[in-house]
Amino acid sequence: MAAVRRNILTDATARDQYIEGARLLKAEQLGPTTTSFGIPGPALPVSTWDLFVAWHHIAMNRFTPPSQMDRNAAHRGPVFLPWHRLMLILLELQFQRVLEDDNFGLPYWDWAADGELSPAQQATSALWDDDTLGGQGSPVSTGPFAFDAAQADSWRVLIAANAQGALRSTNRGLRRAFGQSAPDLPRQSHVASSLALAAYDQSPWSTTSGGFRNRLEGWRPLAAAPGLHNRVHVWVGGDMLPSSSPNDPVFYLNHCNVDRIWAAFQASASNPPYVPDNSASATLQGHRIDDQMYALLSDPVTPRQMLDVQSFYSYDSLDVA
Amino acid sequence: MAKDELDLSGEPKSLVESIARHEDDLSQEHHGHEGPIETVRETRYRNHRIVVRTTYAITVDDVPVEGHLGVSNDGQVHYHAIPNLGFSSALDLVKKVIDTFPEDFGESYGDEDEPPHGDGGHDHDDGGHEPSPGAHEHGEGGHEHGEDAHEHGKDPA
Repeated sequence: MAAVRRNILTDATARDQYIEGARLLKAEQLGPTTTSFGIPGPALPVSTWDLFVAWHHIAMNRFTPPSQMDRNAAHRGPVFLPWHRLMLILLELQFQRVLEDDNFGLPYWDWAADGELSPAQQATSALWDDDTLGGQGSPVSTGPFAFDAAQADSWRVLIAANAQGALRSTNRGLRRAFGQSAPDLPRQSHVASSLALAAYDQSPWSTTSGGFRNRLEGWRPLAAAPGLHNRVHVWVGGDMLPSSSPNDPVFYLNHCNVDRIWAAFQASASNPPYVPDNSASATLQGHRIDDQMYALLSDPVTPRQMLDVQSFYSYDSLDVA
Repeated sequence: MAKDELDLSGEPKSLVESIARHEDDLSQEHHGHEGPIETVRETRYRNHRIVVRTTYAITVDDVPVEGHLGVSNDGQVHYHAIPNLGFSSALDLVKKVIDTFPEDFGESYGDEDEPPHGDGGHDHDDGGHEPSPGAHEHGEGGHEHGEDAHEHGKDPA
């Protein structure tokens, strides 16, 4: 039976399992240290959770092609949505393993629903309650991911990007700063506008493209950027800003909702196809429908293989806007 | 894709092995460039090939900032360490980098303004990078300005 992904704010079981699974994966030390991976800084044990942080960072630093500095192996191009769909699937399988529940589905955060609240109310949404993700701060001091230097099992950021864009080891609490870099969350009307677009993606297949992918990623319309996915990263702030953003458990709740919006786009009557196909220029390698994605934690997977994933999971609702 | 088609490196040990194969990607102290950063924008117009090269030499307190920096063809400047943002001004970009990575610039992280430590550069910067509602409004206006600048063919920053 495929997993069902549910709204974290309306399903307490999914919420509690997500928190429990995240803490188990964070506590699951695998033997190597940051030093054995060559990450500068003090030697610290690396957990399963941290591996996904490293994978995201590595993919982001792989430009496609290397001659330009916009599109990378996971972002700023057509592969953004299938790459993150694969990442979520692989993480979901890890959750299922440590929770011993093959039906566990990652929950999503319907941030556009919170975007209908006033900016002040957005910062006090139930998502940030003590029994869900906890609130903001430097470090976060409430909820299951709060930091207490005296508690060895409190949530610690151990791998983080620095100002030069390189990973380093660290040992500190999680950081969030709501609304400091973007005043509010995306709204349902913004999501609806993205769903109305007629193409999945368009040339030049970058942050300047028209089409659904670039709108959902958040680079267009320019006057409203950062939008949608990007805006959620930026609004949460703190550790959600660098390439090591999977440190914060809210990263996956954001991307699960992004994936849900893509699923709604796919389920629309028009269902625009994934583009580009493999007749496109080789400079788009890694983004064409039958190219191997930068999988790293699995054998090679193509965007085409991520278009129908109903054997893995479904959503309880595709009512996204 | 059927679930049984996905050949996972799903066990933790094999996940470690997968990441370990990319140690070189993890261990780079600097992903960017030594010295000034050159960006290249290229497009075609009426069968002509247009190339615009822009060089950035960014320092904070005289220390070079050398991570990957790029400029998209619409004039938005972006920095790889803060990947979800684009800026119409490189100065605003660097202020955001300082806010995001406080340890790397010798300042504490927090909402309270830090007093200058006898450093004229800090005096100059303090008003600029302190997050505030006013700064946000300015930032959004900056995007709009960026569009205008693009339409008039100006370089960013």
